[in-house]
Amino acid sequence: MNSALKLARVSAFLLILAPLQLYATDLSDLEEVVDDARLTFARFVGNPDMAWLRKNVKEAKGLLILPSLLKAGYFVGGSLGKGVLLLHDERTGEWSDPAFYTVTAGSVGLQIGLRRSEVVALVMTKRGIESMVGAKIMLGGDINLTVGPVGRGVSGSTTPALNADVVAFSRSDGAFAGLSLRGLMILPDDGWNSLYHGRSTSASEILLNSTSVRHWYSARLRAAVAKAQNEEP
Amino acid sequence: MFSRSIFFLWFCASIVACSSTASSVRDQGESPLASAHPPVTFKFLTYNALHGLTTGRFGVAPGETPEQNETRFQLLMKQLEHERPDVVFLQEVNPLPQRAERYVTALEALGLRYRVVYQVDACGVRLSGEKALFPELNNGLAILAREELELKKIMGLQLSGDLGNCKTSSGFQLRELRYGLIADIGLPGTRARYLLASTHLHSGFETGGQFMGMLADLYREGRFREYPTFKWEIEQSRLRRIGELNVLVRMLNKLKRERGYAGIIIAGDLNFEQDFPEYEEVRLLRFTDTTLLGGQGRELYTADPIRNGWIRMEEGAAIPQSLLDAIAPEDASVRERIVAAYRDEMRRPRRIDYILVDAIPPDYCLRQTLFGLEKDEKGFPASDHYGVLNTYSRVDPGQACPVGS
Repeated sequence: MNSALKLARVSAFLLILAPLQLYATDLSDLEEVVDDARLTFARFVGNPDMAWLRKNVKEAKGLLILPSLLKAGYFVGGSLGKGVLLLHDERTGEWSDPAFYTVTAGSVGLQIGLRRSEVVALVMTKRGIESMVGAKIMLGGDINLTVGPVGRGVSGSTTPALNADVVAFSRSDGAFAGLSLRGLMILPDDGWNSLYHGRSTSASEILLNSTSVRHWYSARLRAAVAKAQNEEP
Repeated sequence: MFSRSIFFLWFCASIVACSSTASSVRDQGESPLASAHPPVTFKFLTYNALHGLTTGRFGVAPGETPEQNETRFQLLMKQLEHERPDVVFLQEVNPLPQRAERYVTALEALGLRYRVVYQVDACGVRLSGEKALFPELNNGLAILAREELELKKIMGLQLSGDLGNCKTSSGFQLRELRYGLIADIGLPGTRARYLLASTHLHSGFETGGQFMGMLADLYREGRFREYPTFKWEIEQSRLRRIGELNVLVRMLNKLKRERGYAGIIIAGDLNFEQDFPEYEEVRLLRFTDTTLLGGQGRELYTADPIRNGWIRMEEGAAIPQSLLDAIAPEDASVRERIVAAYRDEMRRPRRIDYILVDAIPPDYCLRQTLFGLEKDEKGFPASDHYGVLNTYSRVDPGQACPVGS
């Protein structure tokens, strides 16, 4: 094989990478995750069957929203979806901007079905928050996780599980289901966080400096969460 | 072997060429518009033209005679001839493409030259051309613009509805679909181009704050126990419209960022009012309701049962089943009170048609008025909606606009 042919092959390889660059993540993909997170949260918190969630959102220290979680069976290591984490600043009473997180399947043989789901999870403890900010964690492994109760008569009097760090609710095909999230890995996506804010930043900076890292596009999500927290059930 | 590599190279180069579509609108060569004088006035109109169909659970049929449809069309043409808008955002244009093209030919007969672009948003099941389950139905959005503004369609963007896809001469839908028609124009005296979007958002069970407040009071008194379920149904309609707005604005912002447009104008029948959450959504998405700029403090009701006979005819329409189901367990007195309040709610004039902008043109004052108020000899206007007409008038730099504009 002559060198001209080798050159042609290298050029071809570089050329084929070029369009991939053009289809890379852009700002509107991130805006879509923020919009979808807000709509997912509104669909959960507004539903009459979500009495416990409505009652207890005011106690939450953080909120993890996964608007589109692909439930692919035996999927290891790849991304199952993107989501956002927001923290409640107890000193100021304000919610942080959303920090982007990636969800991956963390263990071999994880069986979580074949459908797409939406997840809203309340982070109820300081331990839960400290584990999630800026670090990769396994739900149900590094922190305690329980499935939240669903029903009109279920409100604050029913505690889903003592000492649960995270109380999660999920919905598939329009029905609330007790989807198991155990074994899912949640890790900050600082590439996305930086792209969204137009400068180098991290999930820790966004979540722990709640008033200094703000993006105008997140205002609707923050307002929806604050409204739910302050609204009478 | 070498020929395979050449083919591979050609294939890769083709992909690159096809991918490089994000060119700036400023790169597309000098338009004659750039050297033209800025207009003294220009007018944008949005108008829901009323498709004239009746829709039932199992089908769609004409809701008026061809003569009645023609009378409405001619009445609209007469008013367009009088106002001569530069851009017209239309909804409920049916059937497409014939109706859109008829606008152009009818206006041309009046000495007005326009271009038109369109997007079907309700097609039923259409195999091709005339072969359709509901032949009369190919309803949708259109934008008309004076020929010199170089109107170009960019896309028909599906905003909601997961089962279906409507194209001009084929398509199917198993449930409601909503679209945004996105196009661009140039304006005289500037090299900049502007993005336009005509849309008709989801229509569900829209009720205002007063009616919902009354239902909430009854619930607190223990007399409307199904209120949470009913409220949730209303909220789902609102969330659907919010989702549609999100999809549309994201795409428009992306196009503006990537291609360097000077501004965005969204217009249409948005099916929400000023006290709905969707209106706040518009504000937080950094768009301005031009009524606030040019409405001179008056409320311009575009859906007005008091003045518009087309809506008044719907006054005796059946109570929505969801409301009937919700009040069924209540005493007769509570049911009657809620039904009476609902009837009052349906008689209330509303503003549900808007022109929204993300930037305000400098050196122009805006006056907003209703369009389409003229009636035929039987007392009916050309549509069940009045249009919103924005008239921009050029002023000298530093000159103040009249109060309210």
